Amino acid sequence: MKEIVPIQQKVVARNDDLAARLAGLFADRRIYVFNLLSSPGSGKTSLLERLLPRLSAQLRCGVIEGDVQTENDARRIARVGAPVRQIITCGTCHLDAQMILDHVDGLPLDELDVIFIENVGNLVCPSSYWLGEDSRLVILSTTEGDDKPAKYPAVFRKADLLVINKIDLLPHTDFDLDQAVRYARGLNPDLVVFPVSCRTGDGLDNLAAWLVDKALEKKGSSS
Amino acid sequence: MHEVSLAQDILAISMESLKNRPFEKVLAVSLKIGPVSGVDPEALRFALAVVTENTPLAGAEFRIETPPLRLECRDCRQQFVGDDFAFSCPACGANRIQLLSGDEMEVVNLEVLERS
Repeated sequence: MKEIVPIQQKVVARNDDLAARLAGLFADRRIYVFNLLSSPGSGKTSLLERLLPRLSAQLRCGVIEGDVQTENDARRIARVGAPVRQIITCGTCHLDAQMILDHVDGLPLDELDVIFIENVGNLVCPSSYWLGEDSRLVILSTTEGDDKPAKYPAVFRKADLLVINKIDLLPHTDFDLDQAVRYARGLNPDLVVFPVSCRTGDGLDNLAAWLVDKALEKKGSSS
Repeated sequence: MHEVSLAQDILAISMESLKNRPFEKVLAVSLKIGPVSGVDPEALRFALAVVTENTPLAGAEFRIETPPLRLECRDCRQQFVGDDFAFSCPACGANRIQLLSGDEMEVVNLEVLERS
């Protein structure tokens, strides 16, 4: 006889459970976690290289790097003096909570206030996987086209912060900054936006101040 | 292309729900995949066929239901159904649009042939 077995469960339910465990682990230690998402080449690693020295006076930061191949990014982060773990996904297009659980103990968790997780460069797949983070930071660069939020709505809709990088190149591109922000805020009216240039340093101090506020807020909260 | 990971999750969720339940065969798996979930249904079907090989789900039919994309204007509260993300409200023109549904990724149920 045929029978229907009801399930009604989110496909990513297991990942959500593991991410909730991570969020608990981060809450116990009052570590603020940022998940960095963007397409390849928009400047995630460059942003971290420029931000980490600006944060080091107030916050102890660690980094988890996600890439399909190579440890190049981890080497770049190590050069600026932050503890870093590299996850090599060997083809998988996103990080998931299990990968973070497998690697997070490699960071000195008792000595950290903030962890940046640099996701695999991809504007589609990582948006479905919560990693236990407090905030999602999406980076869009001016060489990519101002309609990216319209083309990849999920990642912008679920973001807390939009960093628009490479604004030093604005005079050389057709990128319309206002249009990009309009698209993104159309999906996500509460989105906080910081235009920056990792090359010139423009906007980075403001962004760093925002990150420090967030992290100190969590650090000061009672557990 | 995270459809392979999703297919593995769907297989795991299905197997979990079949635990302690004697069955002859899994006939069908019903899924709900929203139009803005970021999932390509054809790629998911292909991934499911591959990852369920040599499992009790092999040969099952994968029924993918696409629920409508429902949106609401945050300004005038007009609700509407779209094919894709609308960036302006058809009623008042504001471009503050909220997603009500359309990003689902859910395993709804399994249809099994019970062991007689």
